[in-house]
Amino acid sequence: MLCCFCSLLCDRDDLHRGCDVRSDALKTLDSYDVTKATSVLCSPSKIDEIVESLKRRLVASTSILLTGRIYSVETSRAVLKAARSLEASLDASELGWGINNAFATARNGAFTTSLADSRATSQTFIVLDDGTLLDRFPRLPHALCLSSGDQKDSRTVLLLGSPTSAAIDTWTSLFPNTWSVPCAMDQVANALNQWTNHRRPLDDDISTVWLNAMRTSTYTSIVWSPACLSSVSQPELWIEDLMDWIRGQNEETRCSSLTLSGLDSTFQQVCTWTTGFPGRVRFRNTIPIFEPMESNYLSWIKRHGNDPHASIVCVDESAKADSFLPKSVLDSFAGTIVELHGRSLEVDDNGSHVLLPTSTAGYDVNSTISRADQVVMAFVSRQSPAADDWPTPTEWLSRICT
Amino acid sequence: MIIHLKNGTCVDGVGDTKVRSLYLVNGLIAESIEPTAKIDATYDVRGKVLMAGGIDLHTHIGGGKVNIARLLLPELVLPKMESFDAHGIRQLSAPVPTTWETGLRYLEMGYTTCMEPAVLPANARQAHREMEDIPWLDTGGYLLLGNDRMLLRWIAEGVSQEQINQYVAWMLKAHQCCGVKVVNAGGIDAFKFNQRHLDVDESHPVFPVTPRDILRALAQAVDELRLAHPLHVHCSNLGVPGNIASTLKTLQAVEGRRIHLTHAQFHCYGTGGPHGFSSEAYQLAEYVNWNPHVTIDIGQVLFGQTVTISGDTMHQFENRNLARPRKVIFQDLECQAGCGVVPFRYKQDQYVHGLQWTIGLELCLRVLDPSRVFLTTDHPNGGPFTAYPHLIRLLTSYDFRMSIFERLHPDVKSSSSLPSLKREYTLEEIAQMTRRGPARILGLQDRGTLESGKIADVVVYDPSEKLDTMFSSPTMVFRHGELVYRDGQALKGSCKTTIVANPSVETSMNARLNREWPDQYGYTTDMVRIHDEELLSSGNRLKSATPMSSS
Repeated sequence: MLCCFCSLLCDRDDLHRGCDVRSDALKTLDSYDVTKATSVLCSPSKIDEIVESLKRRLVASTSILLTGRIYSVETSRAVLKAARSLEASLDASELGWGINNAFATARNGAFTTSLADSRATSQTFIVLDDGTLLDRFPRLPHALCLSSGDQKDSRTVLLLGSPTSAAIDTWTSLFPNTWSVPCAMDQVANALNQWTNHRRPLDDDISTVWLNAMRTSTYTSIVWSPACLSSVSQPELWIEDLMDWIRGQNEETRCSSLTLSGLDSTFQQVCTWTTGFPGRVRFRNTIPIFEPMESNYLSWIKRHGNDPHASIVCVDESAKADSFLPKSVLDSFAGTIVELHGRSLEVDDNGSHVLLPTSTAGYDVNSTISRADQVVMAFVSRQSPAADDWPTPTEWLSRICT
Repeated sequence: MIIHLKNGTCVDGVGDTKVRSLYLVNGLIAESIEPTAKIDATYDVRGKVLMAGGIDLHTHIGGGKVNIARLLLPELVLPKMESFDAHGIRQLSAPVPTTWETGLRYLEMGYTTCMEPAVLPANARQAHREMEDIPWLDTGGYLLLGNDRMLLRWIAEGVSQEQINQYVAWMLKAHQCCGVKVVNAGGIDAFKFNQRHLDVDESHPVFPVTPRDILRALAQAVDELRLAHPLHVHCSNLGVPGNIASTLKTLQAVEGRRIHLTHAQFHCYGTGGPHGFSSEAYQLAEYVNWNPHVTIDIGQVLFGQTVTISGDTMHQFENRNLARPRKVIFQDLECQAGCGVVPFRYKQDQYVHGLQWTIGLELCLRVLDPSRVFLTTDHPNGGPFTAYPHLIRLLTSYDFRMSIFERLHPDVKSSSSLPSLKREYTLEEIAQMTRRGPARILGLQDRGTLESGKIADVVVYDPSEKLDTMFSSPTMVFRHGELVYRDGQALKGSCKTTIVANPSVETSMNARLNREWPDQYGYTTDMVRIHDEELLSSGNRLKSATPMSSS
C-alpha cells in the first residue's frame, strides 16, 4: 500500500512502521466525526443553496485567488480549469519552497538524481539538514540504505547543517560511516567549495576520513529539500550556488542533487504542462500570465485583504487539521473565503466564510501524486473504506466555478 | 452518424489518387452506404485534396523531460505570437508548448496521431497523464529500455532470451506503451559510473555487456513478442563526427531483425570536409535501400531557437557548453535512464548546422521507398513539428530547396551533394511518408489511408502550388468521424485513444520483479504499474497495435 502523507510515497510496510508523519496523518483523519459531516452532505437543498450563494459571490468578485495544498493531478487539473474560468490568480506553492527551487532551476539549470539512482549508484551522500529534514521525510535514511541482513551500509554519509541528535542517530544506525559537520546552512556551498578545491589548504580540524571519501567518490548525491532553507536569506541564490558546485564536480566525476520536494510539486508539474509555467500565474482572457511576485498568495492577500469584493478559494486535500490560510487572514480578510478542507461544513453568519468538507488525496479518493524527486508519479488507491460520499475538490469546483 | 465528403481528390499513399466520394459512418470510412441510409451532413469537397490524418511517429510531447524543458525556459515563452516566421513555419509560443497548444498545432496541420518516443518506465504515468491533456490527438509511447540496470545485469549474467522477452512484455504492458526504444544502449548507465564514451563493442564499466549485446537481446525480444513496431533505436555517438561507423555497426548488431533508426540525420556524419565534419547520408541511405528490415526517421534540423531534450545524458553532457541560453538540466533517473535538457540555436550561416540541414534532406531524397523514411524533426530537438509543411515543400520542390541552400555557409555549398539530387516527392509519396508508412510500422492497421473500414481521420486540404501553405491550413479535419477543425477554427473533440502494444504477459514475471525491485528501485511493481482501468477512467480508449504476423 502506498503512503501519500509525505512525498517519499513509501510502499513497503517496513517503511510505514514507525513513521510519525503517517501515524499523525492517520490520527487526524480518523479523529474526524464522519457522521456529522455526512448528515450535512445528505441535505442536497442546503448544499445547493450554499453553492448558489458562492457562485454569485465569485461572479461578483473583483479579484479571486485560488490557493491551497493541492496534491494530486486530478485536483490540479480542476483548479487550473477553475482559475482559467474565474480569471483568477493562482498560487499553490506551499510557503514557496518548491517554487523557489523551480525559479532557481529556470535561472541556472540543475543536475539532479532520483531516489533509486541515488541509493544504488552513490558512493557518498552529503545530506543538508537544518534540523527538520527527517521531520518531513522520516524514512529517508531507510529509503536510501542498501543493507542486507546484518550487513550495514558502509557508504559514507556526511551530515551538513544542524541535524538533530536523533537524526544523527538514525543515519548512524543505518550507515555506520556517518559524519556530522556543523555548518550554517547559508555557508554550505562555500564549505563544499573549500573542501573540494584541491589547491586550497584545509583547516586542521577537518577529518580526513570523510574528506577523502568525498574527494574520491565517483558518484556523490547531495540530499536536501527546499523546505529546509527557512534560515537561508536568499534561497534561490543558495540553490544556484549549490548547483554551480555540482556542475563543477561533474567536469571530473559524477555528482547530482537529490532534491526532495513536497507534495505540492504535483501541482507544479501539472501547472507547467498546462500553462508553460510552474505556478504563480494569473489568468486574463483565459491566457496564463506568469507573475511570480504578484501572484504570490501572501502578496495577493496583502494587496486585497481589505477589499470586501475579493475572494479566496482555498483547496486543501492534505491530511492536515489546520487551515492552509494563516489565522490572521481567516480573522481579518474583508472579502469571501471558501475553504475546501476537512470533514465539516460551516458557514458564517453572512456567508462570507464557507468551509466545505472534502476528500483527502490518496485517503478518501484515488489520486495521482508525484514523489519527492518528481520522477515517479504514483496512483494512490483510496485507503478509507468509509469515504464513499465525500465530494472531491474537483466536484466542488465544478459546482461553484461554472 | 453519416457524413458525406463528395467528390474529393483522395490521396492516400496506395498509388491510386482519384476523385471519389467518402462516407464517414459512425467513425469509420466507407466508400458506399445503403441507399436508404440517412446522411447527416454533406460537404462538397470537389477540387480539394483528401488525405488520412497525419501520423508523427517520433515527437517529444509528454513526460518528465518535456516538462523540465518547459520549466527551464520560461523566458522563451512569447507574450504574443506572430503566426508564421520568415520561412512560413507556424511559430510555437515556446520551444516546448503546453499540452493544449501541442494538440492545436498538430490539428492545424491535419495530424491526428502522435507517438512520444521516450517514456521512462518510472515516469510513464506522468507521460500518460500529460498526453491525456493533449486534445485532438491519439497518442502512444515507446518505453525506454536498454539502460535499465536490472536488464543490463540479466544480459551480463546470460539469462535466457525467454526471460528477457517476458520482461519486455511485462514492462510494455505495465507501462501501457506500444514500442521499445533504446537510447545509446548502455551508455546512459555507463555515464553514471563516469564513463564518458561507449562504442558499440565497448563494455559497460560495471556489467560485462556491450551495446551490441543489448541491441541484439532487445531486437530479438521485439521480434519474438511479435510487436508491431520494430526496435526504435537512438544510436551511440549521436552528433559525433565520424559516427557513421558506429551507426552501421548498430544496424548490423540486430542481425537482420527489424530496426527503426530514429533521427537518422544525427547519426550519419563523417570526418571529411573542410571542418572535419561531413555528410555520410549516402552510406546510410544505401544501407536502408538494400536492407528492407530497416526504417528511419529523419530528425531534420531547422534554423532558429529550440531546446534539445534527450535521455542520452552522455552526449547531452558533451554539448553542455553549447547551451543557448547558457543553462542546462541533467538528471539521472531511477537506474533506468537519464535526461539532458540543453537549449540550442541552429544558425543558418554556421557550417555544421547548415550541413545538418542538407543531410536530413539528402536522406529523404536518397532513400528510395518513401514508406520506409519518415518526416520528423525529433521535435523539439531539430526544430518544431510545425515545420512539417515547410519540409514537405522542401521535398516536393527542387527550386525551393535550392533557394534556401543558396543562403548556407559557403563551405556547405561546396561540399554538399544536395544540388545533385533533383528528386521531387509527389503527393502520393508524401502520403506514404506521413500517413501510410508510419501506420504500417506502428501496427495501426486501422488508419493511415482512406480505404474502407479505416477510422475516419480525414483531412481536407485546399490544393496550392505552395505545399507549405496547403499543409499548414486544412479546411476541415475529421477525427473518428467527428468534425474537429474547420476554416481555421478548432472545434471541441471528445475522443482520446491511447495506443498500446498489449503483448501476452506471464504472471510469474510480476512475482520475479517484486523480488528484485525493492532492492533495485526501493518499491514494488504496484508503485508504477498502470492498469487498463486507470487509463480508461481518465476518459481514454485503449487501442492495441496489431501484432506482426507470424509469417
